[in-house]
Amino acid sequence: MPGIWMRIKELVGRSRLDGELDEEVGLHLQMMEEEFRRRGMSEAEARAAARREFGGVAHAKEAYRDQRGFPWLESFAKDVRYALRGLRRSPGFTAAAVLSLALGIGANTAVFSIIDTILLRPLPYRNPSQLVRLYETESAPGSYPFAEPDFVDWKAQNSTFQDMTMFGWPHDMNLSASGRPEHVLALPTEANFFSLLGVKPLLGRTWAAGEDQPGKDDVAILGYGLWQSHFAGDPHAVGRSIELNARKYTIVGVMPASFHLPFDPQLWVPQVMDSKLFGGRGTHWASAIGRMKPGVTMKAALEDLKVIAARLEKQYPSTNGKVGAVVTSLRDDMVGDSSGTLFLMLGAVGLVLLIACANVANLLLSRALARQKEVALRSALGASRVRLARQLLTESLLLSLAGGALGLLLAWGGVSAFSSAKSFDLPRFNAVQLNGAVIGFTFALALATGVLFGMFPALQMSRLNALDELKGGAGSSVSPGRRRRFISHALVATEIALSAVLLISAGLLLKDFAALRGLDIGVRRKGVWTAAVQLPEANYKTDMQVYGFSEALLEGLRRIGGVDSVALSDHLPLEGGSNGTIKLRGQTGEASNQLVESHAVSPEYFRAMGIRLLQGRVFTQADVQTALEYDLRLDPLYAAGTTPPAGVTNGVVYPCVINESMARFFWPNQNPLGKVYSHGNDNGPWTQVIGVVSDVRQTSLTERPAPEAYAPFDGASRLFLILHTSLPPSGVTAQVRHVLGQIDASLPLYGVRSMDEVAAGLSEGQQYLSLLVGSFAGLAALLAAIGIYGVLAYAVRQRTREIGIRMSFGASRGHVLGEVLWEGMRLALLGLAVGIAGAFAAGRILESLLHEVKPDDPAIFAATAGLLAGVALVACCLPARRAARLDPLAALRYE
Amino acid sequence: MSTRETKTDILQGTLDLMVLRTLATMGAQHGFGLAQRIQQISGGMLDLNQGTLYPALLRLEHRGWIRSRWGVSGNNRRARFYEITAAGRRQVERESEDWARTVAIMDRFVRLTETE
Repeated sequence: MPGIWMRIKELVGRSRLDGELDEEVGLHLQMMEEEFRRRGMSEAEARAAARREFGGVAHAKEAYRDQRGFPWLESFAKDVRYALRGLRRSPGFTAAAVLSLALGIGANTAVFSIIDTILLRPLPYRNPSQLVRLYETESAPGSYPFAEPDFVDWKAQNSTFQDMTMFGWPHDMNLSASGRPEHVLALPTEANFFSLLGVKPLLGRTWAAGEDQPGKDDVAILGYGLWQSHFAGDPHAVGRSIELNARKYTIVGVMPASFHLPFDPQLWVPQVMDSKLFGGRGTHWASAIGRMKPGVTMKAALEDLKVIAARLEKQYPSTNGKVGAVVTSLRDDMVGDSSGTLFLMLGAVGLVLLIACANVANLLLSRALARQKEVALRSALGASRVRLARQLLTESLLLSLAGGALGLLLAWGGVSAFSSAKSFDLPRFNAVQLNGAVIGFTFALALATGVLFGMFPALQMSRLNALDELKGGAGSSVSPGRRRRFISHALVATEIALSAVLLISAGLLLKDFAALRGLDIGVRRKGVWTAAVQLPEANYKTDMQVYGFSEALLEGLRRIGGVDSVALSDHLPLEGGSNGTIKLRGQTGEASNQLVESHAVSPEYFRAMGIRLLQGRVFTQADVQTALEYDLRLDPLYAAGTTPPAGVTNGVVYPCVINESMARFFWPNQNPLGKVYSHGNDNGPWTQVIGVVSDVRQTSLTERPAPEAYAPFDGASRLFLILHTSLPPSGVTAQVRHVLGQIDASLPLYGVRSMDEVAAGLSEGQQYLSLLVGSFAGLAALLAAIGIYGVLAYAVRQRTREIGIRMSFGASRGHVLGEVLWEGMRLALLGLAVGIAGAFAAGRILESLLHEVKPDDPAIFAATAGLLAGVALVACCLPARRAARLDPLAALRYE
Repeated sequence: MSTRETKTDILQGTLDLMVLRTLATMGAQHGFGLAQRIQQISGGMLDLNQGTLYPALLRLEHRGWIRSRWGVSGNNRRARFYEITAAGRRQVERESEDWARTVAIMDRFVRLTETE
């Protein structure tokens, strides 16, 4: 194609080519003159004739130049230059438009980048679509962890999986790399864990085969964070030895920062695959991930596992009675229920962007009207309608692209602030970043918004009649087109409606958060200090050693002055624990489906936590002694893997304190004191109710209290310390550290929090969500207020002469004020009505994110409607007052 | 416009063919010479604004149908000469056929009105 090369050369050598054209045309004219002279004309006649025959010299040159280079590109560049000039002339308008677009687009980009990372991008593992999370079902509905022997059978007998891997719960461990011991979170995994997922270490290696066997498990893999914080990113960390729970481990590898799921542990240790440790069928505790064979669907995998589960059910009816299989995709499992939150956020920012678009469209409409004469003139001078519309669209696109660029910056700042704050409980949240997909999204969004809001004025303009515009001075400015007014009114009402939806949603979330913060969780929030200690098995092997430690600790803590009560327990309220089914003594047939939370606490626990005693009594030291004696008798038998004989267990009766919910569920209208039950075994060991206490939210902040049974605390490898005191927390922490140091200096104290902080930590997600949606809603309301103000102010300016005429005929200022106010408020009220209806509909989406508040809470609806109406009123007041203050004489002369 | 006799405006799109055809028969020409030849061939019946020739020449050059180079004219003056390319010759064939067809069709219509 010779043309393109030629055109490029034409672009570069513009001035030389202009010279050549001049020369060529000059020669042509000269030759024509000579020709005419030859025919006998005078010099002057010849020149005139030559000019006439040649036609317009300038016109010919212009037509020539117009064809040179890339005409469409140049006319585009001309449009851009023209638009830039126009925008520079009205900096206020430009700033307002770009800023509102930047906020709208930026918010969308930020939320999209989060959604992209969490929902859209595949997990960073090899062939992630083959990976599934495996669960068992139990008698109660839901997904439950594995019993280890079931896992072994599933793994051996299935035909649809390449492999399966098992891992435990994350463990608290004491790490002493150098100097003071510290607490870390470790995830025990089977040896094939990393290879099954297909992830590579950053340094060193992952597990070698057999490292999950007893005696070979003294190896550890560091997470990126721990490697940075405790080894300063030392490239030679691999091979070094560390002490975990008083045992030596060798570091064999370091994982990259992107690998931290599941459970976000700080390091990995081998899960020792020794069946003796796991408590047999019926003890459900392990997690598992499977990799399906290529081409196998989740449905087929589930059918396969169901067959195995059914076979196990026949073989082991007492433990596997109702144990079935659950297969979910690993990604869905990790994303969990965060998609609801994310789509709510996307909806919220989408609405904000729509409002911003409506606003900018309105600004452009007013501006276009003000420029009608200019446009009419250009059209009279020969600019085509298409060309004019294209010019307006160029302006809109420039605005939206500038808004998009600024929005990208805002989003970048927002995302990096949020991902380091770690404020959301979202998987992979720290991996959120702006990548090509996100930038592409922003660009597309900016283009789409530019076309969306640029369409209105461009359409408007193409309807313009040039002649009318040029003729009509006064006539045209008294009544702006009805159509234009209808469009801008509809835009403003829409803005109000959208911001009403957002404000109501934000109000509901905020009220829900406030309700969660003020929620009665069943325990005292103020003045309760808590912390945790982990006892390494290497140094605390026997029940007596563990018990001795807890007694010494309690004694030491009681000696701290100014402390009202001191307690130890194995779990904290709100943070869950372990549960199981029970069987009442004398009950025949199946155990009840109802799970009972179990929780071990020392005698003063109820007093320290402010849990009320309703019936009977709480534990005494004697109860602790009783429990310890039974444990000392039974634990060696369990540890040896044998079932204690019925003669032994039948005589064992542990004391227990139950909560109201448990009393109500199992013994409605009966006195629960003295009732006896077992954990499913007809020959004991038994548990007898000695007291009933008030309910506590044990499993989580948002779940209602479940039946719960407290046992006497006689020691545990992980202990929670609870002190009720009026002393300042930092002082308490120092004193507790001192007490602990005197008992065992190698133990770190960790997780120091007040009970209020424990609760606050759990409502943090809701706090951030409500604040975020709240700020989006505030932004929306502000934009809507600006929108309504802009439209009214413009209307007043347009009607200045009309108002002046009416005032000179005796219309009072009050009347004018009222009229303008009503014009604005009519729109606001219409928008509000639509918005409230929309909020009812949106409530259905919101319902899953609200815990304590109904989605149609009338107080929030009323308050929000009032607030928005107030904002609209303020926005209307300014132009209305301006109208009322007009000087009729000046107004009449106004052009 | 013209006082002496009726001249015909150039029909849209026909100037290209005139230029190509002229260059195909004449060999390299400068702008003035080309304009003279076109006037001559038309027998002075054509109302040609000679200035419009230049945008047309550029358009043809962009399409690769003609090429231009600077040379020296008859009385030793620097001038730009245009000549037809191979692609231009093929285009002349195509356009001439098209034109002949158009003329034939128009001719039938013209005669139709005469007989009625």
